[in-house]
Amino acid sequence: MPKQKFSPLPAAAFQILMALVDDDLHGYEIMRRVEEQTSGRTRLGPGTLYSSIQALLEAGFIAEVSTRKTEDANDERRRYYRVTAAGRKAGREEAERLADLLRIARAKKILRGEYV
Amino acid sequence: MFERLCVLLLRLYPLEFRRTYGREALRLIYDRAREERGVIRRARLLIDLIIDLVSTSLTWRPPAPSLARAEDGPRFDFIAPHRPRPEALAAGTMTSMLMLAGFALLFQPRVFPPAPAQLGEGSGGEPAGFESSNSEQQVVAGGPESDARHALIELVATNLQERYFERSIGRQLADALLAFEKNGQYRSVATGAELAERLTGDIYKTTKAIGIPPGAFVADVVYSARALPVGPPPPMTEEMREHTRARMIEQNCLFRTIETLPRNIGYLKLDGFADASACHETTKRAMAAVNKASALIVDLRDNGGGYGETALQIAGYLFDRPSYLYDPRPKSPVPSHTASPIPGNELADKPVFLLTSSRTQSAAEYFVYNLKMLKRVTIVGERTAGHQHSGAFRRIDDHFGMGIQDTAPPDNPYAVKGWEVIGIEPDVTVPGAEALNVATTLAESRTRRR
Repeated sequence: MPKQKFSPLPAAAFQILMALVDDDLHGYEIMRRVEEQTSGRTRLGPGTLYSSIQALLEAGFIAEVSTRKTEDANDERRRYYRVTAAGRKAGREEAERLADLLRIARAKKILRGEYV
Repeated sequence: MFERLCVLLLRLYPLEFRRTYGREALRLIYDRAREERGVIRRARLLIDLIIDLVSTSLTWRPPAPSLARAEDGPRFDFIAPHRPRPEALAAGTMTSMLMLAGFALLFQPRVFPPAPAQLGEGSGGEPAGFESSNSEQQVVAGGPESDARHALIELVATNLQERYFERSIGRQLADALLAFEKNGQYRSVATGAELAERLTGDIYKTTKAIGIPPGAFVADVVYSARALPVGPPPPMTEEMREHTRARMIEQNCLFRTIETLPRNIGYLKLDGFADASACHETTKRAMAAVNKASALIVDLRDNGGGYGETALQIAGYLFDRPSYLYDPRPKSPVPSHTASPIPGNELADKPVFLLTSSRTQSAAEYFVYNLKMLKRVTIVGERTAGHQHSGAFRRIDDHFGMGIQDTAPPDNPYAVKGWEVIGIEPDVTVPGAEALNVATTLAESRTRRR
C-alpha cells in the first residue's frame, strides 16, 4: 500500500501530533488530550484515532514506545506513542500553513474579534 | 449492559482494524464508558461510536504490507497477508459460483418425482379419503422425471393463471414459474416435498418483485406423502359432530393448563382453538378462572390453530369495547368484532403476554396478529410459523395440492398485511423454551409498577 500523503496534514493527525508534543501517551490519553486542546469540539472515536495513528506511524511522524518517559504508569497492555523529529517538523509546517490561512482571513476581515 | 452494547458495535468494525487495534479500541471504549456516566453522556458516547464506525468502515485501509527479509541465504521477501480488495473478492466469488453452477448442470443426477398416475383435478379414480402411500420413495426413483415435473409445474401455473383473483398477477406468477422451470431451476429437486417448497418459495419471490406486500397470502403448493382425497371431504353427520364435540370436551377444549402463578399472574396454556359450538362454556370458565389476575400469560407455543370463533371469544375478554379483528378469509364465518365488554370481566385493562413459537400457526396467528396490531399484548418467544391458511385448496394430483387466493381478501387496515410466510415477530425474541420465564419476569415487573 502506498504511503499516505500528508499535505495538508489531516485535522485528526495534526491534533494527535500536537497532543504528543509534551508527553508519550496511549490511545485513550491522546483522545482526552485532543478533546481538551479543542475545547471538547473533537472527540476521536477508536476508528478515527487508530486509523490516524496507523498513518502517522507509516509516515514516520510518530513511533511506538514500550515505556514512556514519565515513570508512573508503565502499563504493558497499552501501546504508547511518541512524536518523532519528522513528526515535529510536519506539525510545525502544518501550523505554519494554518497560520498563513489565518493571516489571509484576518487580512480579509472575515474574522470576529475573538480570534487573535 | 452498556459495555456489552459497545463491544457489539466494535464487532462491526472492519476485521483488519479489529485484528490490529481491536484490543486498544476496546480499552478506549471501556475507559470512556467508565468516565462518561449518565444517560446523556452515554448517548453521546454511543452516537460518537456509530459515527466513528461508519467513517472507519468507509475509510479504513489495512496497514501497508511489511517486507521481511531472510538473511544469510537465498533472499525471500515476505508480504504480510492482508484482506483482498472487495472488488477482487466479488470477482472471485462470482467466478466460483459460475463454475459451481456449470458443474452442477453438467453432472447432476437425474432425479425427480415420477409422473403421478394421473394429473389434474379429480384424477386418480380412487375412493374419497386418505390412503397411505410410499410416494416419498417413488419420488426419488427413476422414470420420465422431467416430463412429470413439467406437467406438474404446468398445472400449478395453469391454476395460478386461471384461479388467482387478479388475473394479470396470476399470469405473471405462472410465467415466472414456467420460466424458472425452463431455466432448469428445479432439475436438482429430489423429493416432492422439496419441489412444493421450492415452488412456493418462487411464488413469493415473484410476488415480492411484483410489489404485493409481504404477509398477504397469494398461493402455496403443498405435498402430501399420503394420497390426497378426491373431491370435497364428505359432509359431517350430526353423529360425527357430536363425537368431535365430546372429544373436545374430554380434552378440556385444549386448555392444557389453567392456573395462577405467584404474584397473581394468570396462566393459560392453550394448544388449539376448539370448536366454539362445543367449547363456548369451557372457554368462559377458563377465562373466569383467571379473571382476578393482575396480569395474564396466554401460552400459544403449541397452538396449531383451529376455530377463529374461540380465538375471538378469548380476545373479547381483553377489551372494554367491541374491537375489530382482521380475518384474511374472504367468506369467514367469524364475526369481525369482539363481544366486549363482557359483564363481570376484569381483564380488559390488565397486562397480557402471549407466548409464541415456530409451531404457533393459523388461527393462533390470527389471534396473535390482531392483538399485536391493536397493541394490546406483549409477545414473547419465537417468530410464528407464517401459515395463514386463507386460500381455497385445490387438489392437483394424488400428492400435490395448492392453496390459492381465488377471491379478493377483505381490506386490511394495518400496515403489515398479514402473516403468510413472514410469520409474526415477537416483541421480545427468546427461544420458545425460555418464553414462560421471561414473560413471568416481565409480568411481575409490570404488576409491581401498577
